Amino acid sequence: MVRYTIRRILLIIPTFIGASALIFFAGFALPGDPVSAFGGERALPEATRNALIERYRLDQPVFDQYLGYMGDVLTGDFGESVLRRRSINDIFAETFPNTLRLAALAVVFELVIGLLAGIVAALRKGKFLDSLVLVSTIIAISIPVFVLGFSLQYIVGVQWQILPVAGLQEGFRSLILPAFVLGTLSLAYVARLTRTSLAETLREDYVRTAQAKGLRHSRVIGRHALRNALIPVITFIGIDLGALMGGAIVTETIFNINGVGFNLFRAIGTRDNAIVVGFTLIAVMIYLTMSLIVDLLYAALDPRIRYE
Amino acid sequence: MSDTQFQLEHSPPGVPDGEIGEEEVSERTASLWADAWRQLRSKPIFWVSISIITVFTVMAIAPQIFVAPSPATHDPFDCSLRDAEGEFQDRLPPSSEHWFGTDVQGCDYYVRVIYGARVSMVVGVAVTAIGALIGLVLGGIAGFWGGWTDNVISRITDVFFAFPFIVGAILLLSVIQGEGGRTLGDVVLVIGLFSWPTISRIFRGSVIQARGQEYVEAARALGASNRRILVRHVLPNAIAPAIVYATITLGVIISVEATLSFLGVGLQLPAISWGLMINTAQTRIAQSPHLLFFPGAALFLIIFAFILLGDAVRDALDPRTR
Repeated sequence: MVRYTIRRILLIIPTFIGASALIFFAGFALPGDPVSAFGGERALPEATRNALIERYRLDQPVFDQYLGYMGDVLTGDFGESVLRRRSINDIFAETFPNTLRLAALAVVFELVIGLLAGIVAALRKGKFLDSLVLVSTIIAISIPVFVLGFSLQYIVGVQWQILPVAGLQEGFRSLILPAFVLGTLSLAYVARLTRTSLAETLREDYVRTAQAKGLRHSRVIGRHALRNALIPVITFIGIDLGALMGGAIVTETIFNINGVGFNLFRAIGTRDNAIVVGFTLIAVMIYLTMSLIVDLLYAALDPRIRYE
Repeated sequence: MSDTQFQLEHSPPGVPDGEIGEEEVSERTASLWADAWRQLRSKPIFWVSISIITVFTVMAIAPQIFVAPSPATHDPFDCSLRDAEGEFQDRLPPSSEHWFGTDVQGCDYYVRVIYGARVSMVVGVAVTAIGALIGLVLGGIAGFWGGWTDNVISRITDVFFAFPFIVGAILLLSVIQGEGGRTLGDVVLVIGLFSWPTISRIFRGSVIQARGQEYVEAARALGASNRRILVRHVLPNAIAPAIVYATITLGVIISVEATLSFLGVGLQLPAISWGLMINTAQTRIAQSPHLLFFPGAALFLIIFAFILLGDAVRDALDPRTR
């Protein structure tokens, strides 16, 4: 396990270097002069201009800029948004809680509805309920998120008027609709994954043994089958949580939620490089961390993985 | 938390039901492909999805056939805010004259929805072809040769997995905007650039698996060249999962294009794309829900058909389900 852990952690390094370089140079490709953007409508005095160039290392070769930036990042400083005059850390600290709340509620939907549907389908394999789950999950996967978002906004918010359709003014109630939209696709995947995995587990010898011992049905399923069947589902949700930052762009835009995705998308539109690069980099870090945790958890839960 | 369907790494879920099974022993000589085809043919789901896909394919190639019976204009760019009597023609609800109503510019919505099929189908097919080509080549090389080649390719794949697909696509596409509008080709290339890693990873896995089989060793012992082993023995046995994934990807890519166009970084007016139509309509949905409904339903139908087809093909190609 120790060897596996070390190897797995070392693997992150080239990935992180590659992804950060890609982000940095892609951010650089955005047209526009960041220094004149700083002055807005007015031209900047020469001295200010030079000071800014020096501060953001704009006079250095791109590669040196990258190294300097990564040095700052490793000390926890993600730079500063020239347009908004605020540090990236600040903007992130303000917007991340909103995204996190949204994501947490989405995961609750995924777990409650997705798991339940998957378990029911697996236990009734080949029956009506199973087909119902299969068909509705394919339908859920086939509706583009922005179409689903607008449709629910129209039906639930405008026609029925039971939930707010934009912003975060009403606290928890404001989050219900966007969280459901954000979670739908993964909810469908969770349901299908649970169904497949549980159905396979139910055919295992140890489950049959447990049944033969005369254990109660609920105990066989809850204690013996589900525990093992849920390992891939947990993995999926972990990775999924790691992808939440890039993932919430559409939902946050439609529902006007001041989260990470919303701000990232806006920053791409306004050419606010520092936010784009900084936020994307944080997204990559979160993703890498989550997949590391998931892999280690998986190896701990399933010894076969470690010996590949 | 996939808000967008861009997390292509999500393993295509749900291994199918295993209720199929009456194989006749006398037909055991049939290959995997013949077997799979016989299975597919017997499934209504397969024919449903193929029919939907055929309809949309014809719509993309010859939209004239579909717009011919419409009583309104047959030209998607023939729009007028007022008619001859001076009546407003924008955002009319569906009627016997305008089957799907009209949009904010007074264009006939039915004709525009029909003409929108082309972009979706072209992007779906072209991107999947690019993604499959890159993915199969890289995954095949990595899986077959192994060693440091595999290491380098796998690390590159890792980088693309860690990079949020949608952010990368939005970033690249908004750069292109600076040079006088994005073309269909730009959109295809950018989405294609991000769509290969999953196919590559899947194919690498199945090549490694096929490479270790006894029949490959047997072929090698008989003196077969690397090339012959790869083409005759490994490829045919390793390609099935990649094909299944590519079919599902086609649906996902159509959704991606619509989403990017909706966000304003995909195709630009005057192009006709369902995502773009919803983008234009987004502030008027509460008053004119038909502006969302028709392009949304078209998107849903075509994506649904490809995902359904992928499911059916997987059922047919996976011998474990028999």
